[in-house]
Amino acid sequence: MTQWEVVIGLEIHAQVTTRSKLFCSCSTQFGSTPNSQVCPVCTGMPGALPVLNRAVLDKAIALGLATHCTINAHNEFARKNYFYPDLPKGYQISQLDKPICSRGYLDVEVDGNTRRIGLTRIHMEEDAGKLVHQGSDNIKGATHSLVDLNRSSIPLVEIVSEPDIRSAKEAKAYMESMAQIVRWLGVCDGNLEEGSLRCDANISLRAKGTEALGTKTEVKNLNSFKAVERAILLEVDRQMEILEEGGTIIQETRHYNEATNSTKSLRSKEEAHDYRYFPDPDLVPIAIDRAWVESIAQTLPELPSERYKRYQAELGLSEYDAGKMTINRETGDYFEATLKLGGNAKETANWLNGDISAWLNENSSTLITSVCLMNMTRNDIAWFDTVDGIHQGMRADISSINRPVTITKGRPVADDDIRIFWNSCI
Amino acid sequence: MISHEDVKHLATLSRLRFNEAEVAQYTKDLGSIFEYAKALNELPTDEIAPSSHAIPIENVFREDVIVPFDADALLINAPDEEGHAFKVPQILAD
Amino acid sequence: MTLIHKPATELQELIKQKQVSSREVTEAFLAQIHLVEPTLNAFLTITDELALSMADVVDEKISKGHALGPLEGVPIAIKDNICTENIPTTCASNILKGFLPPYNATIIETLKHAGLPILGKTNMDEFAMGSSTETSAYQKTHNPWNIDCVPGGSSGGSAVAVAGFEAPLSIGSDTGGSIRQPASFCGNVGLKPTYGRVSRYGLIAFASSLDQIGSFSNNVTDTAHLLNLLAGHDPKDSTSLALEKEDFTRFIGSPKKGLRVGLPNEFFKHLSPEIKALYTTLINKLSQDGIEFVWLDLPSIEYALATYYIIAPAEASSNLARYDGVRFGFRAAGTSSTSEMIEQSRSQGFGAEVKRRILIGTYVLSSGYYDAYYKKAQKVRTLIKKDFDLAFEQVDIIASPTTPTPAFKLGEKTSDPLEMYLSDIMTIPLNLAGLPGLSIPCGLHNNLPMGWQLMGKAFDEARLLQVAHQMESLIGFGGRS
Repeated sequence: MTQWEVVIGLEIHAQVTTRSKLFCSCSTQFGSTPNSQVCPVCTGMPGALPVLNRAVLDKAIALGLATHCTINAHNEFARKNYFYPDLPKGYQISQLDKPICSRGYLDVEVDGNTRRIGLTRIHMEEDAGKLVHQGSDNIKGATHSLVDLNRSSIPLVEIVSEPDIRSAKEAKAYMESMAQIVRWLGVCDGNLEEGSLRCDANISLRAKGTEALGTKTEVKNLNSFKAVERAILLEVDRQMEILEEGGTIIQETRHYNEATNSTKSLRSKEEAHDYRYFPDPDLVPIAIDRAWVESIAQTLPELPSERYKRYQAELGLSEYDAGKMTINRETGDYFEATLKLGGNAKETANWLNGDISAWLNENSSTLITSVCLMNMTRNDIAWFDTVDGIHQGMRADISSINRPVTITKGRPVADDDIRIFWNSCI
Repeated sequence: MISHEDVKHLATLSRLRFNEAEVAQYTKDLGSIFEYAKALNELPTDEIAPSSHAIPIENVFREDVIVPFDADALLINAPDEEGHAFKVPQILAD
Repeated sequence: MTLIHKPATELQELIKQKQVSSREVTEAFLAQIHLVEPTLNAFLTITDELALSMADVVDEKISKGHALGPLEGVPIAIKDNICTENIPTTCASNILKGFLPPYNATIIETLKHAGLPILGKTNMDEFAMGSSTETSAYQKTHNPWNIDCVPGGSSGGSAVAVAGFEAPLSIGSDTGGSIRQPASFCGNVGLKPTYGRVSRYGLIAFASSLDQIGSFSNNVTDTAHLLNLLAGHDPKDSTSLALEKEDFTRFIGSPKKGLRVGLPNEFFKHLSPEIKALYTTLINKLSQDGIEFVWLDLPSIEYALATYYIIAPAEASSNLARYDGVRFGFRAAGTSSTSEMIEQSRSQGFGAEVKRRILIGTYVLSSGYYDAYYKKAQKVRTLIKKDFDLAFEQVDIIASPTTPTPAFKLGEKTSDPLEMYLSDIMTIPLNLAGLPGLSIPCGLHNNLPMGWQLMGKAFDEARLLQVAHQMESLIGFGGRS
């Protein structure tokens, strides 16, 4: 019986966190009324022209550096031509043969082993608008559709991996690591529910020990970590069944439905569009010199993988604690701010993992959303050494807390007091 | 060099619909234009860089600042509108 | 001489000296428009009210004793591919019938701010694709010199507006000669500035890397003053150049000493004997007046037309993809699906020439043909630019006929697209190279004007206008009586 090897490459689209869109000055805020954050440029009005948002470029460079990519000194935008009612100009401005970043990698921890996943490229592009189908839940029975262009020209980076991923579990771990990195760098808010992070998977099978790649299918609409894993498992099973029965895989795009945990063929690739890419004459080439790359490199924070190692090596944290303390940048920064004020590493980690974490769960809050905690980090206030200190804090207007309070030398505070204090902060 | 089938394919790509007479006419027109364009092959250009722009400039950016626009003005030309959105007929999955 | 026959700068002097009000000047042109439009058909939209209200603002300013800016109070006509907020802007296409732009093009903001009353929007070839203004979906414009002849194109309406004394100034756009060729056919001064000199924001794109806004006027001095207003960096146009403000009139009136003018052999090859004789006489006359002419070669120029007819349609095929009936413009009735709606709207909304160019452009960009056509043409474009660079090491200005023939008859060339394309053979190379050029009238052939094209180095418009003014004075073209 043939042993099959699974070959997976992921394409991740991450919405770049900016105030304004990629090529115009409209707001990128999520969830406003339809067509309220639009202008002549992002609605494709005749005569309107795009101008590139520099912040997107800086963030794409930061992501490229964090993932060991080459930052291409010369890169440019190209038009990808196709018709669809949510694509106002009849083309998407993207990058083709001159992307901003090439040839990087990401080290991913899977079952205690480190797997190095190659990155083919990272490029910048604009998002399309949104279609809302009316008269039915899905596109099929809909009587008509509504076009909302608030998302049109929202900045994205597309991160394309090499076909280096060998299992659904690895794919999920890769996606999680990438999500952690983009959040950590502030490149993307990583909000999967709002579509800030979307993933497509290219999946094929080949007989173990062979080199040639099998025919691949592209599975789209993988919008949660769980979806990545489950959809790939499904597709691998489907392909394996066909191959075991002596059949052949058709190159096609399949759509994953998370609710029913099933995939469905969209269209076969042989009718693929001819996108007629060409350099966009409305935009000028981008030249990135060493000084520019260097200036971004200097602003890069210590990356989660580096911190993870340092917390173990220098602070003596366990793998588990080091992982917890680097789950996102807010936790890590908060942890370090606390240490700076004199806390003990192990006890601080326990406190954050225990009391604080419990309280946050109880209140459906996170370090990111808790204004109180953010203020405290900003004000270098970690925790109060006495019950009295807590009560003082409680009485004070949160925004006026700017006086560093004496910190315990590793002495935990009573549960109840913390709860009272935090509750006052929500 | 350009066939009727080519013209029909180009029409599909560019979302245009032609009758047979138009297809025949465009086949003829495109044929003579590309025949004329063949002359370019006389020029050796292996070592020449392509020009996408008339005047070479680089690095034109805007700052990440929001400038609101009167969005209602963008809907005045809408052929069909519903709930502040552009209304289109049924979209058939292709 | 009545008001409408006076050049723009002279009109403004009269307004400044309070000999005439801006309203009176504007009314005079509006009267002429209403008088001759039934014959000439230069305008698609006439904006009487807007023009008069803008003129009144200027007169108000004068009455309060405020100083006027350059050309303030002098009316102007605008080509219908430049967006004017809430004023129909159609590109002479059915697909944009009734389209009311939600914004002003940058140059419209500039002209409004400068106080030039806007008389209306002028006819053109549909989406600026054509050389005779005959591809307009709405009307045929007639050449005032001979109403059986075309005005040239694509900015035919703007050329006729000035030639027919309907406006002292007008705005056009030039992608492959669309200002210089109709200026030549209509006997006025047409300027295409350097690519990037004037903002394209709000100019409805034909071919983005070739399009440039420019002007028509009765003389070079007016052209220079108008360029002072139009030129400038626009942060909304990534291809607009951030250059220091300059006065384009600064060299006018002081002839350049030791002027060397290049004559490219390639531009004189295809002329009929009569036309060639006309230009030989002109060159001899100017030589006698002390201008030194040098014959030179621009070998790649022979390939400019083929290069242009690959690059321009390629960009156009993409620029015209936004006309899908979803957000604005014409939507075909009675369709049952969006894809059918898009296909029918485009098929019914675009004219034959526009469709032809969409097909050409789609072909040269499609997989398998991109390298052979599009990329090849981009490389030849580089060669053409290099030829000009080399030539400008030897000479200050390059000169040639603007067109190989004078205006042709309406309907004469509509059946053969390649024949029509050939009428732009002299003007196209400059767009590919991005350089500035202008056409001044230089004589008559069969009672139709012929143009003399002057080409300059990039961003050297001040010098170009100086030389043009110098030659204009020497030629002494009488204009149309």
